[in-house]
Amino acid sequence: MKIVIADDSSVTRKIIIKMLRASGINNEILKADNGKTAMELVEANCKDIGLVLSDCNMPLMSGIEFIGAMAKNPQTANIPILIISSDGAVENIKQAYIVNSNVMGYLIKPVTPSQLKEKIGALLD
Amino acid sequence: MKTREQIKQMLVDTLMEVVTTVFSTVPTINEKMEKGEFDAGCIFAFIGLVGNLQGNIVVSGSEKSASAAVSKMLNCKSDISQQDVFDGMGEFTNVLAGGLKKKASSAGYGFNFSLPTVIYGESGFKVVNLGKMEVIKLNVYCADFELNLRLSFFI
Repeated sequence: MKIVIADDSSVTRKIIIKMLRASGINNEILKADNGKTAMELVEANCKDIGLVLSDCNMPLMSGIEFIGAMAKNPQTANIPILIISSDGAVENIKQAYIVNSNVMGYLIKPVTPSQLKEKIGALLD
Repeated sequence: MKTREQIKQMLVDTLMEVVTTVFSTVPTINEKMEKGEFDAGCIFAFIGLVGNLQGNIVVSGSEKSASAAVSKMLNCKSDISQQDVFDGMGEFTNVLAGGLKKKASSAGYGFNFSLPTVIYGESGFKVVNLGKMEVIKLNVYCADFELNLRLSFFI
């Protein structure tokens, strides 16, 4: 199964990929630098996507708008999502869980390799 | 209700905590609480804050230091591209803003923040805040880099 990483920071995408590979997760990664591109990727590959990792603050379409759009599309509504965001305000976290019931976790940057491994390991098992 | 000094200390502690986690090490951090201007280095990352706490966060450093800092973030010993250095400095500023937002919100000073902006120049910059903001200035030293962090704010 493929994993989608949506984050406008190329450095963050690289850090996450390094952490995944170091944890033995070698799934194919699809990368997007905004929510709009991420939604296009998810729609085009919906049958092969096992997990979406998304930031919240992104240009063009925010992470919250992106996962909200996923929830509205029956083909993408059941894909598990892990939010990885610097925005750890309680209201933002609540909003993520409200707009998409498949949000399985919300990690606040900076994320450590062990935090990511623990969350993703449970989701991919 | 926290006093003004308690809030400032909470902000300083949060910045230090984020720096330590991002670089997976405990850097030497010199805390200077002062008002005024400072000369930024060649790379200058900026993020605006607006809400019950408003102001900005600036992270600056020489191109060499910024490159070493981003390499440390990436845990990468090889040369990294200039675009990655810009991106990494912006993302570091973004993560600092996020850490501050979480702590400040819990103390009743919630705010939103902009996408980061990175400015690059050969000969440095002078940063001047309009208005009399409180300024928290931290110098972060690691083995191979030095960055200046500056949080200017009204509460």
